[in-house]
Amino acid sequence: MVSTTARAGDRGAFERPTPRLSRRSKRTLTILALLAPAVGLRLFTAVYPYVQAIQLSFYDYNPAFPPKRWVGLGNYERALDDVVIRTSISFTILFVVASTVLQIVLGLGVALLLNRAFFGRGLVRAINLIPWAIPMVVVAVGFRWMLDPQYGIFNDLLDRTLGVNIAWLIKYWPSRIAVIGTNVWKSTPFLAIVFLAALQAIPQDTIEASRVDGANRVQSFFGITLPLLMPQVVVIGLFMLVWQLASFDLIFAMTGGGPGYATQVLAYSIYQVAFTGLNYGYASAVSMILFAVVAVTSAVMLFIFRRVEVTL
Amino acid sequence: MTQQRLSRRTLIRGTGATAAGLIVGGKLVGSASASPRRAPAVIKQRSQGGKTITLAVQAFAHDALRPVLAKWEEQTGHTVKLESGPVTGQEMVTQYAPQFQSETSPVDIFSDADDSSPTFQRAGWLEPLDDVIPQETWDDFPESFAGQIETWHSFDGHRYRVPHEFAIGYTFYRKDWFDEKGLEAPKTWEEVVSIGKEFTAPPVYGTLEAISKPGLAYVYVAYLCAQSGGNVFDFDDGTAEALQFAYDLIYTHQIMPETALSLNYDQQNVEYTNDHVAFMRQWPFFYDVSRGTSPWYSEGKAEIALPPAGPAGAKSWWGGWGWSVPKFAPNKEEALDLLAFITSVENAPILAQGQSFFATPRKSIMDALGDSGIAPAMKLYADNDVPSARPFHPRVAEAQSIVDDVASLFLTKQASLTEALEQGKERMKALGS
Amino acid sequence: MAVLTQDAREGAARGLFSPAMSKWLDRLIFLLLLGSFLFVVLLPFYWIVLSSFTPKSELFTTPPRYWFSNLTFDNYRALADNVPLFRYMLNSLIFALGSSAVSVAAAFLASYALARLNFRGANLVFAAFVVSIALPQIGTLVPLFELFKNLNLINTHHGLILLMSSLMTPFTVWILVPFLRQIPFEIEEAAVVDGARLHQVLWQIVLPMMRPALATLFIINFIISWNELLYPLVFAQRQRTLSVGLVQLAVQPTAGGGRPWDLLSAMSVTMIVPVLILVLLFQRLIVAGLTRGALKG
Repeated sequence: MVSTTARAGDRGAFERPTPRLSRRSKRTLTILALLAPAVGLRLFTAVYPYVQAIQLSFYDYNPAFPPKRWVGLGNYERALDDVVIRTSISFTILFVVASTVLQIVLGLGVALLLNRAFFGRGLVRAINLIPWAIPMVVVAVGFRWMLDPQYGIFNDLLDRTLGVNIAWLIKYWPSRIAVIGTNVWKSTPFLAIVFLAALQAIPQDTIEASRVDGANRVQSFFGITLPLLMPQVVVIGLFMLVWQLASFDLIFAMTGGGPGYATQVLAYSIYQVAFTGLNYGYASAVSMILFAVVAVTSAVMLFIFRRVEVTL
Repeated sequence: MTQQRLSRRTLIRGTGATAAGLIVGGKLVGSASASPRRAPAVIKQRSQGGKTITLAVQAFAHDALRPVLAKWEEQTGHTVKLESGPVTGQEMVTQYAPQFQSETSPVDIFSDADDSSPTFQRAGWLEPLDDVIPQETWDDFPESFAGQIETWHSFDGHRYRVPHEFAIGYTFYRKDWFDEKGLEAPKTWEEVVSIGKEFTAPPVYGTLEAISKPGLAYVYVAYLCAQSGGNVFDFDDGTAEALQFAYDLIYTHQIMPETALSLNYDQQNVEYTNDHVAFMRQWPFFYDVSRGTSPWYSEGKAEIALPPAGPAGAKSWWGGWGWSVPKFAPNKEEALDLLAFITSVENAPILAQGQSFFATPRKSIMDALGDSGIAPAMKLYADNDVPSARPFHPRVAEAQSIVDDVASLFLTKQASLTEALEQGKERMKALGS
Repeated sequence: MAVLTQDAREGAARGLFSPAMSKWLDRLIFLLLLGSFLFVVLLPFYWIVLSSFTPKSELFTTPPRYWFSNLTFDNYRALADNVPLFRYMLNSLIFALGSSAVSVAAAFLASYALARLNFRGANLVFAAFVVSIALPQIGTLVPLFELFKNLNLINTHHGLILLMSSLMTPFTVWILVPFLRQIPFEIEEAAVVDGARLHQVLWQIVLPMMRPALATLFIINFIISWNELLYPLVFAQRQRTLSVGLVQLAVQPTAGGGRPWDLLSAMSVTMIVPVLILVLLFQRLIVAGLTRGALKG
């Protein structure tokens, strides 16, 4: 990502000296003014409270059990000893990576599908947004019922077509597959519309030209379209990774982390630590661990994505 | 009439005799009647009115409150705004803790859960009620409430919450089916199995319980522990016995479907009203739910029997919601006055008649309810010494979620009983106290 | 790889299919894909809608119902009795419109600076935005609450909008920067040479070209904030949104009722309808923006 920024910077429109914008200070002021609202918002509602949280993570702080005590790395040690936190780290990564990869692949597919001209395209594009528009809590509760072995529509369909009936939410792997599947269903449309918007920004004649040159649909997709979409793919992929790492409502409403800890994710652990017991210090430490997981996962994904970009 | 009342009185005395069995920790015996301070006979001079008091309680209970609130509004000239409050302790903490922490409060008076109130009390976020609630009100509670009031409603010698709900797990059963087979509701764990087998023919099962996470697995394990004599937070032998029994019901005897492990209460109840369950444990609200399910309901379809006896007897734990005033309530004085008003000996029965959420075995309420609704079941349970204290832990919500996890791990076959219990013990140790 | 996945047209070129046949096949594959896409997307939604119009007593049947049996509005009536729908909806609307407008505006300005004005530290700022998404919202609630209390922002619409737009800004910047880079900047350059001021460039040249992307992001952010739960739940008890009302129905009480699917499904349909209307309206704007952009280009 960072390198892309540098590349673009080389061709800045305001780079060449013009009478009005030549003065350095004025330019700096302009930049600051443009950045101020966004940066200000982040400093105010994310960075500042997070710095506070870092501080808090070194304390044993629970308002119900005063006093507030300095414990150094105590909370971190406790977290790494905590079987729930330990097991939730691995599922968090699996959940987020599997979801993101599936969402990107399916999102691209849907975007290509909806980029074709056909009757009723506007309506279908609106329909595409439905899963995204349904509140996560409803999706979670709704899928829970759809997956019910006895009354669920999903199991009934499986039964009728394939003759299988799975008690999804009480088995280890099926429950994991179920939450990942639900999450993919929910968020794929979101990626699809971003990709769709990006597709529409690609000049049609570029693709036409390649088709005329004898490339088939698949070749022109991998040769032309995908490389042009790559910035969006990388950006949205990373975004989904990070965003989903911090989401807890699906797990909260669908499985409560169960069965056992099979679907426990870190964000839900933080929610539990902070709001079942008011362990603010401990919750802050787990938040920092989540942050570390986010950082490492995105670094790894970024690395993979860039290699992919190179091979293309 | 007089006779009837008398018998009710004796009942309540009988309930009192069971007090010792209900109390957590011997040192707390009898403190319900030995209230700290006597409340002033006349409630403090009322302010001139015109204030708006915000009261938060679960939405379904609003209608029952209105007549009593109207009386208070008329007396004081204030108005009460009803808000739908959180429905679980967890949600309570999520919504209110940050506010209380910052010394503000969105409400003046609220109905608080067992798993959030101890936390709020210890954090110093609730207003002590010692001076506001007259002794008459406390005396109205059966002596068997003493222990629970001491552990769940008080901290550091002060009272912070007045109970308004008596939630106990009742055994509901299909008397119509049992009569047909000439059977009686199961009296022991052994009978649960043998009778359960009589009825089990999928999709009909002998019994059913919603054992999902979060929260519900704990409720069931604690219920079985009350019967096995285990201390659920110690993961002791009694807890092992309880967990093994649940496991056997599902996998060994197969009188409970495996899907129970992912059900919630709504689904459990629907299974029952779809004629798929012969008997089950459920909270009192199912009494109204079953009777409100038309055209399904007819007499005998959801009768209440005593719970089956495990090694430690026929027990069922109880808990419930209660009224509190936040320390940072914008209209604290008025809120305290209102709290005393709605919990008074005159008004508590009116609330109880309107809504089972406000029905406790208070003397005044039992008198008013007579034999209507769930009151006879309350008496049946009290007479037979069924109510057992809700297991207490200073970090109750966290301790409960550990039980949840352990039960779920074992019952979904992800861990052996020994592994699961071991993990529970370890986590409980890390929790401290 | 590509050889293995030849499409119909390729086949036609090799003489396997006649051109008419290949066109027909192409269409068939497309329709099949579109059909399965619609099925997967709509089935759960259809089921939620179906539930919301089914009497509570008939919600659980084996096998499940696939069609409206006893159409009823009872669930909606019960919902209206239980929840002050209109007030919640108004709050949601203020919250969602405000948050998406602020976030898109702030992100638009910032991404212009990041994408077009080459300055030292641009990478750093950009990276900082990226990293700041990784600060989990849930870890910041308690310190945030104290900050908001000191600034008297609790239980205010603008406080909530600040929080939410801040949450969405980094993502919006992230999407907008590559978009801006795709737009040819010769026009801007020419305008600058002609002496246009920055705000003129932004307003008259960049904004019209960015309209599809901005509208898309507005919709996305609108939906995100419309459904946002945690912030309104904790920070605006007095300006309850639909999502807060919904979770009140959806959380699992340990005693007393539990996840009333009849009300939940009715409420979620109530929540989705305004969003769908908005999307359909904006769909026009996106298309219009696209064509205008094309005309100018």
